[in-house]
Amino acid sequence: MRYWLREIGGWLLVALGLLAFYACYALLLGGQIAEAGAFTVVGVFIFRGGIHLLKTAVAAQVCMHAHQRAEREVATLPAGPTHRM
Amino acid sequence: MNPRRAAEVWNVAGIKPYLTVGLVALGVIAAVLLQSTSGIVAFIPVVAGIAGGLSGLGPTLVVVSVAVCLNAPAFVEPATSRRMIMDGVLCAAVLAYVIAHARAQAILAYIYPADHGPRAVSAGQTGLRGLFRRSRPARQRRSAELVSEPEVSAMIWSLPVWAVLAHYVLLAAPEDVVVAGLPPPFGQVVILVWSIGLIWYVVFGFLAYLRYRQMRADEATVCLQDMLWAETRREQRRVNRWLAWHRGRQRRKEK
Repeated sequence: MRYWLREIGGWLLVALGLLAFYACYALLLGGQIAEAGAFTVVGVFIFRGGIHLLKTAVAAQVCMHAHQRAEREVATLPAGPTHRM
Repeated sequence: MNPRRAAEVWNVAGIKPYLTVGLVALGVIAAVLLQSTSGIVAFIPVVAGIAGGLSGLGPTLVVVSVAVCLNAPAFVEPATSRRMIMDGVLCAAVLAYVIAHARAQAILAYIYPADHGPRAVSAGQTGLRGLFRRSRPARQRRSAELVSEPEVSAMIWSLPVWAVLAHYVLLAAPEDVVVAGLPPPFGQVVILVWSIGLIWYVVFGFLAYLRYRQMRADEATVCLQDMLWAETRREQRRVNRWLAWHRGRQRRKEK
């Protein structure tokens, strides 16, 4: 659940970044190059932030899955005496 | 380039198809430019292409010289279907030269950009000389035996597709936009460059996301540790400084 919130947040930021890029295009069509430049910087930051959040979510997901798999493997090991070296 | 070096390059197996494509492309560029400009000007891209052929500057020189030739015509041809076809042929020829140059460079020089590696001082060189000299970059060439006929023919047959695609992209760009008081063709160029840049950025972002989805557990762990360090390094430093101070104090008391 922890990483799903981050994943949803990341996708929302990515969508917001794409919206900002579309706004840049619309401003360029209107000939407003300075405003488009400012919006491009804003869009780049938002889009990059979204991708970073997605990266965190994916890394957390991979780690959690690896941890759960390791726990399952330990649980399926036959119980018996342990040898000390 | 001296004739001996040229002969050596020509004798490298697998390079001939790409050199032929590059030279034919330069010929086509000159032939197309001769339709709209004077003879001497039309051969500038040929000279630029041959001069920069064996360095990394070849494609840049050709593209810039073609742009100069197109913008300094002796006579301007109206926008007819013949001109559109000529523009398509010119586009395909420039692309053919750029691809052939890149593939020839991969066989003759290096396939990936040069990796300069650590400074020479770490490789055993000491003193001021070692501090400023970098070690020789590690360069890997592509094996010439890997060049196949289907690879070259696929490249040649894909050229018209890219030329037609470029034509449609140009048609899709709005024509009558005035950006910063510049005439409409410049506005069209600004919108095209801007759009291509943003699309490039977005595509790279999504490709990065797909790469993250392929992460292994150890890579993901390092990634999370890196993020944790980036976000809490100041707090960690402060806490560890206090811990070190406390341990030192304890040790002094024990003595």
